[in-house]
Amino acid sequence: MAQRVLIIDDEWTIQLALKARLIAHGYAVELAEDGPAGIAAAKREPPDAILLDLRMPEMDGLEVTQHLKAAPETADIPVIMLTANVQDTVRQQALNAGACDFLTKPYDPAAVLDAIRTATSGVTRAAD
Amino acid sequence: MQSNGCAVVFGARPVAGLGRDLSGTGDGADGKQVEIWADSRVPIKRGSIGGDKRHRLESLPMRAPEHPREAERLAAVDEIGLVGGLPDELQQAAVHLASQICGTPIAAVSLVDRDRQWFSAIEGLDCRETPRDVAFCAHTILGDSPLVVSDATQDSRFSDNALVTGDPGIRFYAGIPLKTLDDPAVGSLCVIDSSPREISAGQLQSLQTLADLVAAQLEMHRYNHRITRRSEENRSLLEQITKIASQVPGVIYQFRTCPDGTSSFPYASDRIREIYRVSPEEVEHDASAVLAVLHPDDREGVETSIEESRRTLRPWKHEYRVRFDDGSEEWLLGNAIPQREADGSTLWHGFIQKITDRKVVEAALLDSQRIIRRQNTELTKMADRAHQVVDDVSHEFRTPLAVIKEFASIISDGIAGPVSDDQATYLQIMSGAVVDLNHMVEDLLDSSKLRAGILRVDRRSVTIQEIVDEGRPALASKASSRSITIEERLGDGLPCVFADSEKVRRVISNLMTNAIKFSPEGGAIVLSATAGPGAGEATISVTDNGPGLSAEDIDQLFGRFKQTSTARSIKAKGFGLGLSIAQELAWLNLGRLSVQSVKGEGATFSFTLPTNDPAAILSHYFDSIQSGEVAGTRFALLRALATGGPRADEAGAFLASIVYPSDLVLPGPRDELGQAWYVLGCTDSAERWGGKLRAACRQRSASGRDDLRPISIGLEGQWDRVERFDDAMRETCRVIAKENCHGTARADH
Repeated sequence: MAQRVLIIDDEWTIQLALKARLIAHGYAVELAEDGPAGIAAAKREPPDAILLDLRMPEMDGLEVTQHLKAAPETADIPVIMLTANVQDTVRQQALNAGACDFLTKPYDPAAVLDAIRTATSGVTRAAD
Repeated sequence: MQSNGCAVVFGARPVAGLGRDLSGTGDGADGKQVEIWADSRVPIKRGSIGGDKRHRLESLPMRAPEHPREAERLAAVDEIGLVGGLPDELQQAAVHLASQICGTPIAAVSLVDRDRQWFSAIEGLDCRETPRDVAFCAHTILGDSPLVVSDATQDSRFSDNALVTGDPGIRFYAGIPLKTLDDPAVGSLCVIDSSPREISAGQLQSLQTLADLVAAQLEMHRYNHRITRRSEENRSLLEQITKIASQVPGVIYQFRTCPDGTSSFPYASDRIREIYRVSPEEVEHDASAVLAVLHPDDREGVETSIEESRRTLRPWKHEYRVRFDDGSEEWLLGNAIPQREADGSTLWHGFIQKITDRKVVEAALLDSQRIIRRQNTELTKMADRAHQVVDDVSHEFRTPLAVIKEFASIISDGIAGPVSDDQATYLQIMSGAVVDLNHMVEDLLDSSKLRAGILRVDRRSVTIQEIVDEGRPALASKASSRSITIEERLGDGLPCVFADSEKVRRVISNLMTNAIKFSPEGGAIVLSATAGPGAGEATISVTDNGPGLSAEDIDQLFGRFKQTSTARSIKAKGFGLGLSIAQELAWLNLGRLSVQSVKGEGATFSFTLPTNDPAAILSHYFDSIQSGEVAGTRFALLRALATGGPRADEAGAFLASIVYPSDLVLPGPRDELGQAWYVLGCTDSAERWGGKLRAACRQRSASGRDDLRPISIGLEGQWDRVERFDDAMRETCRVIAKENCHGTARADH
């Protein structure tokens, strides 16, 4: 059965691009357009990995991660942060919050696929 | 007795057995008093000697020889101060007594001056002086004993004397030398008669006693005279001081406080009138007139500081105001040195000057500083807002860029269906343009971060080869799209450099991007690295064979750089933000970016990096502070100690992430306690800076995310950045060199 990836991003163009790429590589994809919807989707049917945008209205990616990590049913889902923000402090905050990887936009498709592969294989990638 | 026969023995006189030993020169065989003359034939050749008309000389008399200590004797006569003056009353009484005792009509006190004898007291003769040549007393002063001449007509020394042959017709003379202690005689007390006669031992004895009294009184005159002269000297000294004091722009003064609480100005130069508007006399005995004009707000401060100086005997220095009746105010600066007096009072010697003008300037300066500070704050806020806007805009750019790039990629990968070769080529061009656009956005972001000082710089030991290797793929694809070849010339045995490898890669990338941009299709670019040119540095260069730059172009590129040393000045058309950022990043890596070019013959952009050696790093670091825009009035050296396992090595990266990019984090020695790090930087308050870093370290260890144990931070030293920068350099290098002599710089990562 195909692995499921939940994409939480308020930008529908990014959602579509990621979805097209992931489906082409054999993943099943679910979309959520903001934090609360994403958390709800993750709880309803826990995915194998979550691609999470950092900068979103209402609830940002850090808060979403904290919520996910705080709830036992979602705590073990690997979260890959995808953001246009490249500040080192933010990167550190994301990793502190429990994200397993941190990728910047515009992303390298190969890096995204690699990150998902690593996350779903159960190996936590060390922060570099 | 002298063999030449010049010795003269005066007639026998019953002087033996006097109570006082008068035998200064020796006893004759008959036991009589004897006077011995060294030379009675002294030729006197003075032609005309002034003197009293009544005693004008008719012939050359037998002049007495000079006293062996004549100069000293004359000085004493001079010092007594009676010659030429009024008769002395006490001496007058003495000579009266002498004439009574001896029964002579004439008696006198004669002071033998240079050319005359002066009668400071005389009885029986209306005369105050005679020329020295005819003075009997000039003979008397040569000996210690009385000189008695019973009949001058029978004495070869005096028989021709005008005073014998003429008025007053001296026959008998008896004189006692007037002297005190060891001083030569200044004159004599003498009795004179116009008839030959003898003098009894008793009379001579009494005469001697009188002479002793007169001598004592002369000594007193001499003493008084000395005191007068000294006080005259003192007065003239005081006049000089006053004259000098009047030229000094302030009051010179003595100030005394007594145990009973009173105070006074025993001395104050005249300028006290300008300073306190009182006269020196007004405050000579009571300082209250001065205390009254002290500004009410400053009086307590003045009194406290004086009391402090009195108690500790430390110099008094105080700035304070005075306020006068007319409402005007002045600022004064006082300086004085205290000393304790025997009576328990304290005496200051000091100087007070007006500093009102200085204070006005200071106040104006403070005002303008306040204004500048406020403006700075506003500017900083505006700049912050501007940076935030740039940051937001850059951020907003990234998402659509990512979308364009990704869909171009998805299409060209055939995910959305088959594509023709032409379509694939066009999509690749599109992707390349998106990458370029993204670089520009990165440049914008970096520039914004550089300005905000939030760019993280993590310098460590790294090889140039590593840096080049990581950057190669991206550059190669960019170059190949225009058929440009890249030749790498990395010499063997290049030293490790101390740098942030990612930032250096950005510099190389920006320089290469420029070179590719300006190279002709099919051109060649050389990327080279060499040791030098200076000691402890390496140089990385990018050479293209493009159109090159003229001297004007270079001036435009680097002209302002020379003056301000900031990368932001590179704004020549066509170079974009990339070169400007390259320059700033090179600076943050403690290096310098430069260009060499001849129009039409390509260009070489090079930048230096310090080798991984503490001395080289420090030297480059201090250069970078001197040449760049670094905020902070002080230079500070902190020492951090990270404890705990191998992860202590990571503390350097953490420290680098919490300091400003212009600060330096340098590895120190490692021992059983942990890994030491030096943190160097400019700040306004080293204490506050250290506190901030400590707080950040505490926060990190509290987060418990990693196994890094607490980092302790101590302040090693701080120096004024302008005035003591040389000290800072010397001391920092000394401290670090000392500690590192046992260890090495941080191991390669």
